Amino acid sequence: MTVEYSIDNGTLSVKVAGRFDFSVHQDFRKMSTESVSLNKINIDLSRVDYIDSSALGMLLILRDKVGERKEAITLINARPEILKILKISNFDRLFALQ
Amino acid sequence: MNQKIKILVADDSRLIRALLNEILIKEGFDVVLVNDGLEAVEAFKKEQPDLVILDIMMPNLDGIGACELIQKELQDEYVPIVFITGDESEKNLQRCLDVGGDDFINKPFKSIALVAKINSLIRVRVLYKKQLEQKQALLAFQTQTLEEEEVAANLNDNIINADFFKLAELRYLVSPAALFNGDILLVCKTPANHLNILLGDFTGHGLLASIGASPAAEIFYGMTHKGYDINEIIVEINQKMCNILPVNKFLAVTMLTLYPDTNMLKIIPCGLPDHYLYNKKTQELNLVMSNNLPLGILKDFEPVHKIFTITDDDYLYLFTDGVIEAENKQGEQFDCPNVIDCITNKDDAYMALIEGLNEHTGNVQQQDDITWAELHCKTNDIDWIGSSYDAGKEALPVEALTWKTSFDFNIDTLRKINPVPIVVNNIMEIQSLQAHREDIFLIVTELFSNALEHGILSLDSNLKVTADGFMDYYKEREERLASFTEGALKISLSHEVTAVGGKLLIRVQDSGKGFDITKINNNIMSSNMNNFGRGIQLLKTLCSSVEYSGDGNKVKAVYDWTF
Repeated sequence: MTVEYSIDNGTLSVKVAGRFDFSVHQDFRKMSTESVSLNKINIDLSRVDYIDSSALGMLLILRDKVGERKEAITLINARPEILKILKISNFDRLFALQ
Repeated sequence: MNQKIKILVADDSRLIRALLNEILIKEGFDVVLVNDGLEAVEAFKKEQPDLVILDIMMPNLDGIGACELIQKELQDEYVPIVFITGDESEKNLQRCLDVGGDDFINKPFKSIALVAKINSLIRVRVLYKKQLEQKQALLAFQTQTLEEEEVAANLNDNIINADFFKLAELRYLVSPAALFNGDILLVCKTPANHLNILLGDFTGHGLLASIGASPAAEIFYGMTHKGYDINEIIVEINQKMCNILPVNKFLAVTMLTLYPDTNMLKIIPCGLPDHYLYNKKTQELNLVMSNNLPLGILKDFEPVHKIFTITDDDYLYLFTDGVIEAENKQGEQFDCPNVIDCITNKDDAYMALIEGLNEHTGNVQQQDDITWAELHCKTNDIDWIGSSYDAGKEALPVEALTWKTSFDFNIDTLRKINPVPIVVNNIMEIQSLQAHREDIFLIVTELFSNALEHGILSLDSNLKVTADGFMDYYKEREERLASFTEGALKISLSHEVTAVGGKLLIRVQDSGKGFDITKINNNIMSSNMNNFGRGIQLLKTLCSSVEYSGDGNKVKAVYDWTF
């Protein structure tokens, strides 16, 4: 599991790889405290092979940080099994899926 | 050290005793002097020294024997024992070590070497003592925490399960991964003899996950007892969860109501894995997929429900993700195909699922709370309908009073709220009639539904004759309720005292066009209930009289009760 991220012009780009679960909690906490003046977050999920509800919780924290606009956070390239979990929870209503 | 270090010296030579005494006192130690081994053991018990110096050769009991006896006195403690010896042979030293000696001082000895040795052994003793104290403190803390957790978990379970309604048609497995369960299963009967079930899974597991469980349970049981619809209950629970849960925690949940009187099942799935509705006769398998967000995320929550028509052959299987995601040794999940196989190919799916899951996980440590339930959607000959959900609660003596009240609802209000629980709760507050709550609830429900559906919304009962029509009917009801701009309804209640109890009059008047009342009044008289359904028949059995008047948009029902 790794998390890489960069901030450019008010946009935070995050790339998670491996298991997206409680183990990335620290990284997400750090990001969410840094990202005060953000207006857009892109999260690349293409290399995520597992996601659990604590990860969904972390996405909600980011959402809380950038304001509750659906277009503020985009989840990119989720694999079908990851997409399924997001859809079961109906997270497609909270985040843009790409 | 606050307390002085105490050293016990045993030697039969007065000279050596005096010498050691002088050296040790000069170093600031307390010294206890004895003459032989026996005295040494006695003094050890009495004085509890921090270190013992023993001569090997002594009368009565020698140093080796004394050391053995002293070792027996020690339990968890560490008290260093130093031998004074004039014989440096390996055999002699080995004997000292064998009985638990820590070090030797060779005669003749130098003061500085002796003090260095003693100080270093004392340091070991102090360290050991400190570690032991910490270990004991930790153990005590652990024991206390465990005890507190057990009490708390027990209390939590009691709150959650206090009103749990048991019925033969529901089989379930609840298997928490930790002492506190992050999954909840709540079951309760409504005053209208419908069955409400809630299966929920809080984010994570353990103590943190179970914190939201008791407020959710209280809302569920409280509102179900009062007869609120699950759409209203779920909005209320969502509101509560938004208020109390941290941003990253939520409650994935499925709520459902089984309506045995109309062969209907209403489900609101919010973020749990697929559920299955399986008909054992036709072998038709219906997937019930989540179409709502979990609770505790959006304050503005509008639940979207699904309606199924059910028969006695239908079985509903509800799961939390702990079942689907249960991993085996290879880290593979139990997964949906296995679940479907158990449901569709086995005679007893409940047992097959338990066995299948056990076989799959083997002795792998359970990662998440596992909860699932099988509901046999039986609508005929069910025992639970007759049983009272208030069983065990003693009814208080009731005094009949004389009173009157009325309620007016317009179409905008009717879109948002269900007046039935409000009206019934008002009756209960003014005239405590808990024992008659189910009857009164049914009467008000029937009168209200008729007035709303056939009066204000002009729906035709004939639609309900077929199963498909039933669905169409309720779909149409929703659409009309959402789009109509005109309509109002008045519910008037009055109560009077009778010789044997009381008489409750319930009048409902709606703004609808009404209908030919001779037809329906005749129907009531003749029990000829072709298309005017079970509703009016039910009213007739519960009430002393039911009478339509005006243009058919007014109805008066009389309910007589006795002490």
